[in-house]
Amino acid sequence: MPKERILVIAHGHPQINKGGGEIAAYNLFLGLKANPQVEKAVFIGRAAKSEHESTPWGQWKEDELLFHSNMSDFFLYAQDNKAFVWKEFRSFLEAFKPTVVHFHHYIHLGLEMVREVKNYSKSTKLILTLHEYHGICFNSGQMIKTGSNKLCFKASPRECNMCFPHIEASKFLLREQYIKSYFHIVDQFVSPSKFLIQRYSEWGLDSSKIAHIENGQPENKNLKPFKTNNKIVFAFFGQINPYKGVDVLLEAASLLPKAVKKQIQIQLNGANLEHQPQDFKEKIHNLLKVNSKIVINQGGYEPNELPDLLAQVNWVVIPSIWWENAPMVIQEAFNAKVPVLCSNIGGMAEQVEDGKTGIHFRVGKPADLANKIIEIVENNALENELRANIKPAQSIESCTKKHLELYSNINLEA
Amino acid sequence: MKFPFSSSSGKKVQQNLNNAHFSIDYLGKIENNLIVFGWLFDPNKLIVSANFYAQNKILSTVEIDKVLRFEREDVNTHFNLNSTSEKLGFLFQISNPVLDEPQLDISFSAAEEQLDSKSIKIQTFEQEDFLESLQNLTTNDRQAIITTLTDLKIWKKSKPEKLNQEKPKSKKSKVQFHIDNSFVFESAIFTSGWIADPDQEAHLISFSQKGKTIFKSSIEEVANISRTDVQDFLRKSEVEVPLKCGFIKAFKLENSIDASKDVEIFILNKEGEILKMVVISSKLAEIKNFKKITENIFGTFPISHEKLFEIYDNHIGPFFKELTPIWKKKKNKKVYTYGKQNQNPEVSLVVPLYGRWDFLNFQLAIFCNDTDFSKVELIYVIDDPSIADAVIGHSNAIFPIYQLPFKIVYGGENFGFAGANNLGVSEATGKYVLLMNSDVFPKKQGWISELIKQYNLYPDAGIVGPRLTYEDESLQHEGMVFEKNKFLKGFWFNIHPGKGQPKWIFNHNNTKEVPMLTGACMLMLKETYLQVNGFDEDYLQGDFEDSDLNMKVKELGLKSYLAPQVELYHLERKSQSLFNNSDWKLKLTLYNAWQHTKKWNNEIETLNKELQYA
Repeated sequence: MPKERILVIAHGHPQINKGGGEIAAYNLFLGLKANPQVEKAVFIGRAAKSEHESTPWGQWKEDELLFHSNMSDFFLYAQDNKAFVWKEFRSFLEAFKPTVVHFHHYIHLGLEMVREVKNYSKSTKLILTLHEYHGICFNSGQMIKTGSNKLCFKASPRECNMCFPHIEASKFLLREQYIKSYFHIVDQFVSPSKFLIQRYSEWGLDSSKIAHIENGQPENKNLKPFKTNNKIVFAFFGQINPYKGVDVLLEAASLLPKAVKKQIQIQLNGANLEHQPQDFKEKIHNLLKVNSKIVINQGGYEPNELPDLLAQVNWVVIPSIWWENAPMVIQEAFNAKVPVLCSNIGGMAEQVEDGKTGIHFRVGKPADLANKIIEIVENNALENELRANIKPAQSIESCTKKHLELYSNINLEA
Repeated sequence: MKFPFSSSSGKKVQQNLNNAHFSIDYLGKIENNLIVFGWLFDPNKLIVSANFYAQNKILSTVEIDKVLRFEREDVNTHFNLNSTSEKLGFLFQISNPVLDEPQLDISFSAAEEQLDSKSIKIQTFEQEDFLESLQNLTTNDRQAIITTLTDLKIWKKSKPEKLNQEKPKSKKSKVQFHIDNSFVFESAIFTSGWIADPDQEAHLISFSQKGKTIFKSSIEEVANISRTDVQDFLRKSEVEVPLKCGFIKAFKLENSIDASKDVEIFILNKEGEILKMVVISSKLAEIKNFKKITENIFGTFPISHEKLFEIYDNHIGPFFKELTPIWKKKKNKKVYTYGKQNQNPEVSLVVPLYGRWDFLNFQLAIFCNDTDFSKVELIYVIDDPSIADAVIGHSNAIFPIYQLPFKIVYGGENFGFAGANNLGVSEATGKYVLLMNSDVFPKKQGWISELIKQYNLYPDAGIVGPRLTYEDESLQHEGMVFEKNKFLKGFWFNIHPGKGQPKWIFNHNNTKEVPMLTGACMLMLKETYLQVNGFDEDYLQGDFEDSDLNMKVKELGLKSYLAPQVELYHLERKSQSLFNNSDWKLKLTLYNAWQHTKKWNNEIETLNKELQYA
């Protein structure tokens, strides 16, 4: 097999923007860089600021580049400065001559960048990993309704207009056709969850063009022994925002009988509560007050602290009210052999097997979550039973190998 | 009636007295009388008196009602007054003026405000001269004046009335013609404004001074500018004009003129009849103020104009070229030395300082550990009066710390990149000159020796330059190439290929010929520098003088070589435009680009064919 020259492009560099998508892209880049089948791999992360005069380019490390880019138009994912695409980005493509360009998102970069790869060369393989449901849903790619936060099962111009009354239905049709015209030239899609593949397939993408490859995670080399402090610890990890369902968890806590409350502790690990809308902030603060005896808010954490934090946790709770795709926290929990208690929808329900590697509860229903917690408390053996079934998440090496195989199997003539 | 005075920059002229204007066409002294002849346009009838000053002291005040008024059809036409009951002309006479001055300041005032005064030279009254200034009047008006003067015993009837047979007749027409901006210089004129010509009568535009034609051209030879404001204004009187009714007309004059005097502009039809006349004045003070005049002129056209290059080529370019000599500042060179200078240095390192001079401190700290500097003559040029004291003072304080000898050269003004480097080289005694920006910092010691070594490896080297990177190690410069821009057609621009991209992108590891090298760091023989007369100071402020130097050196048959093994940081900052106006800066850059393109177009096309960058 001839060696590949690979560009991995993400909507941020994880050292600057700590997001799941950025980390997944970067981990893939590290894996490719270390692989002998790869002649050279370069990571390009979008940067919000430009340090240099008259060029969007900058450098983090010699093979980790920064590309300043703004995309004010979120409706069409349109790049603000088109010349950056056909002049600056293109000049790099022409000098680097990639055989594979793999986009992990087009947000902040604009869809035009994707097309420019094929403008540069039809024989360069163009891959796009899909994160969230952005192409389908204008509500931050979440597929939940604005206002009510109810789950959305399928997009249509009429329904989308109901979520955004000030945008005509015909505009949503145009948006869909526009985005699909860019997706049309992509040689291969990747999705970390089967659920997402199904959603995109219902939207009209050819599911045979979407490969399912789970994100790779660094191994948890120091698997700590579990520390039991007599209380059963249920921990939440992630941003404290309405979509992650922290309020559902706290409301469930309020519903628990006293006897159960005495035996558990609920940990919140996450940041960004200060940036949330006022009413949500107030709701959370009140719930925290009411449950102050059993809930502790530990604040934010660095990714490298996770193994230690997880070593003190019995269950990871993921109460998201939106579908999720492939939440990294599930992989991190499994790497630490911690079972997961999660909403029964989307990517969560796919990755956590009910009764085997975790427990499902009805999405958005505090009463059902409370019942599940009671069940867990009353069944001592359950935790260890499930723990035994948990397998670690895919390694970066394995993820990388699957990607390389995928790249080599792409048939451009097809 | 109000005129749309705004140009593309949307400036509005403000008058204290609601658009009142006046002009003094003639001021003459005869025996014991001063004759003042001119016109006053005072639509709101606020003016009460005319005032005469000499040396800031009031000489005389005349009530406006007591002054002889007569029709001035030419002025009526200028202000579009169709009803001829207006008598805008005036003639008055001041008896027995106590006067030693060669000129008077004249102005008109209302109850509480006064129009800006005009300074007019007093001529000795000559009937012939005076007759000339009556040229534009109708026969009736002329007669009325002569009669008055005869009654005053000023006019000598013996001379027959001379009619200037050459003078073209005025013709009533639908043409409207207005000047928004004008500058009269002794060897060039700039005008911009608009013309409405619904019946397409206008054929020629003619400029004259004191009755003599100084320039004439077809009305088509102007740059057409979109003016939606004029369209809207004229629609109110139900006149339709094309969108591009604005114009710019600038040109060089064949013969010098008196820049202190007014100039008349005539629009003539095919038969040579005057359709319209406008008078413009010089504004010499504004012309000498580089900032003011360039701001004014750049405001008359948009950067998006599809014939932008032609605007520069036909109008802006020739006009600025004439003005360049008066914008040039004189160099009052002062040299300050710190420490015992190296005898017989091999290289003179010239570094201009502008704005951020703290770079000096960083450079000295880095240079002083480099043994190369025992053969270097280090010359800093202060190109910014606002930092001069600070730099000289600071150098006294820090020299003892670094013990690295250096010189400071100061010319008293800001000369720009070209002038500052030329000034520095004028104090250079080394065999080589190494020109460097203050924000360039070496990464390794011995970089100068290495550059010289590379220079000498190539006998046809004219200039040698290193690779420059940003602080994050990405490329800032690895040679420059010429490119055209699809938005700004016609101009050649310099670009740095690979800017911001990683160092390995072009795989340049060895010295190679490149089309051009940046002036941020270049080494050449001083002899070569002097042979091409250094940097061309006709490039205003900065831009293109370095590529111009490269091209001049190529004319000698020498080449520009990039030595990528030598690497320095160039901490190029995002430019802070001097006047916080990026449109102005861009248009000034385009002037330099135009000059450069005019000079080198053919050579650049050849160069691009013969030398590929990568």
